[in-house]
Amino acid sequence: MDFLLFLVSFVGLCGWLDNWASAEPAALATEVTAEARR
Amino acid sequence: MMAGHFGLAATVKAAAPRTPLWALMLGTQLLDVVFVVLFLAGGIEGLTTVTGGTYGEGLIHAYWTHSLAGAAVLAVGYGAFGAWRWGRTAGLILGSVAFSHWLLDLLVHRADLPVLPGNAGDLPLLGLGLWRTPWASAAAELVLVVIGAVTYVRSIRGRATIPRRGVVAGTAMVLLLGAELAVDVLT
Repeated sequence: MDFLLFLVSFVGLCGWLDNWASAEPAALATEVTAEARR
Repeated sequence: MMAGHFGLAATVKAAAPRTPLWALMLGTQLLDVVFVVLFLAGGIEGLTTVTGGTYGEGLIHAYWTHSLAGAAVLAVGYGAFGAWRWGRTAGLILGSVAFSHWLLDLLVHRADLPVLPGNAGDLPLLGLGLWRTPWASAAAELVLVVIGAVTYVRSIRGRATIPRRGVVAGTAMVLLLGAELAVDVLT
């Protein structure tokens, strides 16, 4: 079970980081707009 | 060999940027994921250790997930899922990445990998046994991790929509892969 929890965490973190860094311009624009509104 | 598998996934991501990194990483570990599920489901598969149970001393009893034919079936299934979700090319890549687990295991495992599911026919078990020489096995993993880290950093620099994010993601990936290798080898 520890292995599965570790795997999900590691893979999830790496996948999220990659998506965050290479977000499509449209998604990025939405994100920036939301930040600006805040 | 967990870090080595992740290193390979990072390398493939650089060559196939449209395929999600999480799917590549999960694919490289798919055989072990199903292995753990079968282990938890009443010990259908299991693991013993040769002596102290440290790095490279595992001996698996995984006659289904880690048989050559079983690995091929899992790889085809994962590839079919990838093709359905992200297209044919991604499917081929994900299927190959899933099967790569068996090939890398063949390199490091002692002879505990069967050819047919359930070790049908009692054919000789396979494994080139690099784990018998832990430093050589660790060096092989290091090579996979370094290649993965370097190619990923180059790739994310080119793909990042904001350069700063590329630097952060690249640095984080280097640290994560390095930490995973350290945990793999030292525990």
